[in-house]
Formats: sequence, structure tokens, C-alpha cells
Amino acid sequence: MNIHPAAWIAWATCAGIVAFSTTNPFYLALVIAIAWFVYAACHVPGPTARSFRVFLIAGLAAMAIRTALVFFGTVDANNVAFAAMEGMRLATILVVFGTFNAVTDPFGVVRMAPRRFHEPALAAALALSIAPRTIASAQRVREAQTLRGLRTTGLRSLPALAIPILETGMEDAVTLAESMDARGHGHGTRSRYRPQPWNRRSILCTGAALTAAVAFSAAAFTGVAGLHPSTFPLLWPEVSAGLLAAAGLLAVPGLSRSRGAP
Amino acid sequence: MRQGRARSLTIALAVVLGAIAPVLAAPGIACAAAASGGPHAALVVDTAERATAYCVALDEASVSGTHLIELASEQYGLTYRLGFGGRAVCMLAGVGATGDDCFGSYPNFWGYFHGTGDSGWTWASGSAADHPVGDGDREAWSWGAGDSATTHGVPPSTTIDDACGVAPSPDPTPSPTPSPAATPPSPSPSNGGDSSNDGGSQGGGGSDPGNVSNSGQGTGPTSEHTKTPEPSTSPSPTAAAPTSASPAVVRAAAAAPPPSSGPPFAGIAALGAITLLGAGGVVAMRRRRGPG
Repeated sequence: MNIHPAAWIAWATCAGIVAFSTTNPFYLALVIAIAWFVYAACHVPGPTARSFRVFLIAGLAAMAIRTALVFFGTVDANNVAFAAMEGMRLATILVVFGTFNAVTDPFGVVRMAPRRFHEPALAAALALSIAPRTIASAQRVREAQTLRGLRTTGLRSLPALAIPILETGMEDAVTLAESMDARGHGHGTRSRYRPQPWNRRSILCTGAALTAAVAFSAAAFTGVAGLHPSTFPLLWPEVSAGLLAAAGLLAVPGLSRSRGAP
Repeated sequence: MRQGRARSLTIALAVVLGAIAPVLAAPGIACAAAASGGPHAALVVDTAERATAYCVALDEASVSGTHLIELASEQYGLTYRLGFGGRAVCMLAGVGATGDDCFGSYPNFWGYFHGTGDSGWTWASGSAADHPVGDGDREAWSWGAGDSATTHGVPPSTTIDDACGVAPSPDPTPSPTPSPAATPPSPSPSNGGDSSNDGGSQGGGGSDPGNVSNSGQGTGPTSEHTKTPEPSTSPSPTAAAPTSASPAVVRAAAAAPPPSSGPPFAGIAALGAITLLGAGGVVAMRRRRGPG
């Protein structure tokens, strides 16, 4: 009983909204922990599962860079905390996106799009899958280089990895275009193959994620304190139990698995 | 495999700790720097209901306009909140935006004035974060609408002596302070601290003139409207009515620095939830990979 790709899109969007609406490190750390939990419980085995770790590292790098930018201006605890919280928000959004990439097959998005929007959906799916595909090809290239006895760690091995990866990306794109053309893509209407069921678990996950997003959006619009902790002066971020519970609803996709599937 | 799992856990822990470390370090930074006899500057805060003059002791020969507000907060308990990376003033004395958007109450906002002449004010064009304030300088913030000195409410004329000079002998008759109840515009959605300030009678004598020293800043962003105001226990002997000719500005009395706050209770609950989720993720991982 898998979660529908559209439900995963809803989950990722809602988690992104939650992360976007706050700079409170408590909420953001909770969302990151939830993303890790959902990834651990639901990720699809295979090369795309690596995308979580890659996006986590990218998020940490983004946070570090955002914080380091402070050192070009006035450096004090307030400014550093402000920049770190902004960077953490970015890192959270990246981690959520990494989880989304690891738990769902982007081409499932194409299948469930209305026929009229098939082409834009395909383009979106391709764009979404660039990161996992690059990660997968990087892993393949690295394995191949290891088999040839080349070093695959360190900066000096980077060119030996980057060129085959770029080449593979080009080849993949050409192959995809050829295969789409060969299957008559863009010529006339298409029939639907194996529609995916929109099951109860998907509805549950979507509803929980929507509730979390609505709660945080409402809090942001009504100006509830604590979403953006004051750094001038530097104060302890205020945390509300209600919003914590709302953010916790994002963990439903990870929880519902243990009941249903083996 | 086991190593990879351990590494994931370490990364997750590092994320959480890295995010919280700057916050943990936060409360130890504020330090009181009230020194009498050193350089002083006047800070006038005009909430449109009441103008309060603060005689702020500077901790350096020249500070920025925003640091002057921070010093006033340390010395008088003035509540404030800066935004846009500390370059704009969102809230002063409980009036203004409490979110991160300092112009959330536009067209009302905190207009910034520099002192000109002995008691006048000119509209400041730059950011307070860049403006140097030295000994004897005057700065003012005025809440209102309008993008220039002619349309924005200009703070009442105040000399440096009005704020910092030798106090005149206490006036036996209470000075006619403008009644705060007569002008009830509520510029911000949540400025309960303001209403708590309006309660006291505005005797011109020795009592605290109802500045915001009561609402303990430092206990959380909403402390202005959740905490019950603690009575100001230190009626300053120098606090006195301004010269009877200009009752528009009330001089602020020094207040004890607010107690430093600890982490919020719900924040600890959040940390617990985060730990639980991390452990749950590890268990889920093990269950998927382990037996086969």
C-alpha cells in the first residue's frame, strides 16, 4: 500500500510551507528530524535513496555559507544568530526536497497528471529527477573508477569523476529524447497505463500535511509570536505546543507504514 | 552498512546541535553597561501617545543608533525589536510590529530623527545602524504615518538637559501629561505592554513615569503581552517632571535590568520530539535492512 505520488507532492509542499513560514530553530529542527524519520521509514531502495544524504549535505553547506556571509559585515552574536536561522530555514527546505526525491519516483508524477498536462508534467518530472539521476550516475561512475583502480576520494579525483558524469547526463538526455520520440510522444492523445490507486493512506498523509501547512500559514498571517524569534535583542525562541503538534503531523507518512505494510 | 547508519545518526545530531548552539549561547551576551559619568546621549521615544526621554550612558565614545536603543533597553528596560538583520526598528516600547516585517503596520512606522540645534529634530535619511551617536547627541523615534518630517509626527522639542541635565526641583503640582486614553489608536495588533503602561497616574514627582521598564524584555518575544508587569521598585530620585513649560516629554527612570530567561518549556519538549524521531528513524532503518 504505497503512498500516491500526488500525496508525496502535497507532503513535500506542505513541509516546505512550514519550513518557509518560520525561522524558529526549534520548529525547523523538528521538521528536519521528521524528514529524516520519513526518509528512514519510506525511502525507495535504490540509488535515489542517496539523494537524502546529498541534500542534507547541501543544506548544511547552504547554512554554513549563509552564516559565513555575516563575516563580511558587522560580526556580533545577533547577526550570526539571525543568519544561522535564515540558513537553517534554507537547509530545512533542501532536506525536505531530498526526502521527497528519496521516497518517490518522479515519473509517477507523469502518470497521474491529466492527459492535457502530460507534456508540462513530463518536463517537471525530468527537472525534479535531475538530482537523483545525477546522484545515481555519480555512484555508477565512482564504482567503475574504483574497479579500474583509480582513487575516487579527494579533490584531485574530481575531474576524473565529473567528466564521465556530465557525459552520462548528456547521453541519458539523448536516449530519453529518442525513446520518447520512438514511442510517439507529442503525437496525438495518450492512453493511460496502470492507474495508481489513491488509497486511504495517501488521503491520511495529505490531510495531515495540509493541516500542518494551514496551521503554520495561519500563524504567520495572524502574527503569532515565535515564528520569527527576535535576534535584536537575542531572545530564547518562544515555542507553542500547538504549532509543535501541527509540525508533528508531517511525520504521519513515516508512522502509517508500520501499521500497514510488512 | 552499520557505519553508514551511524554516520546518518551523527549527521542528524550535528544538524540539531549546530542549529541550537547559537541559541544556547545567546542569553549570556547581554551585559549591563550603565556607567554614570561617562558619555551620554538622549533618546526620545514618541509612541504618539507619550514621549519618553531616556538619558542613555554610552559604552563607547561613539555608538550606532541601533546600539543606543539596545543600551536604553539594558539601562531602562525599554522593550524593542529590530528587524531586517538589525537595520530597522520594528517595535519600541511595545508599539510596532512583532513579526519580522518591520513595516507590517504600514503606513504607521517608526520614523527616525536626529537632533538639530538645541532642541529640534530633522528627518534621518539613513539607517540607524550606520549613524554614529556620541556624547551629547540626541536621537528620536516617532511612531506615525508619513514619509518626511513634515507629514510624520515630529517628536516634541527636547534638549539634552531635558533628558540628562540636572533635574529641576520637583514640581509640587503634577504636570499635565496628555491623557493616554484620549488617543487610543492601536497601531500594532499586539501591544499589550502599551496598555499596561497607561495604567499608572502620571504624577510629575518621583514616581516612574510609566515607561516600559516593567515589561521584562529578555523573557521571550511575547513577554510584552503575556507577562504581568512587575512594579518598578526603584523610583529614581532624579526623576522629575520636565520643566513646566514643556510637559510633552517625560523623562525615563532607570530600571533594574530584567532577569535573564531560560529556554522555553515547549522548546525542551521539541528537543524531546526531535530525539524521538531520530531514534524512530534509526529503528525504521534497522527494521528495513536488518532481517532481510
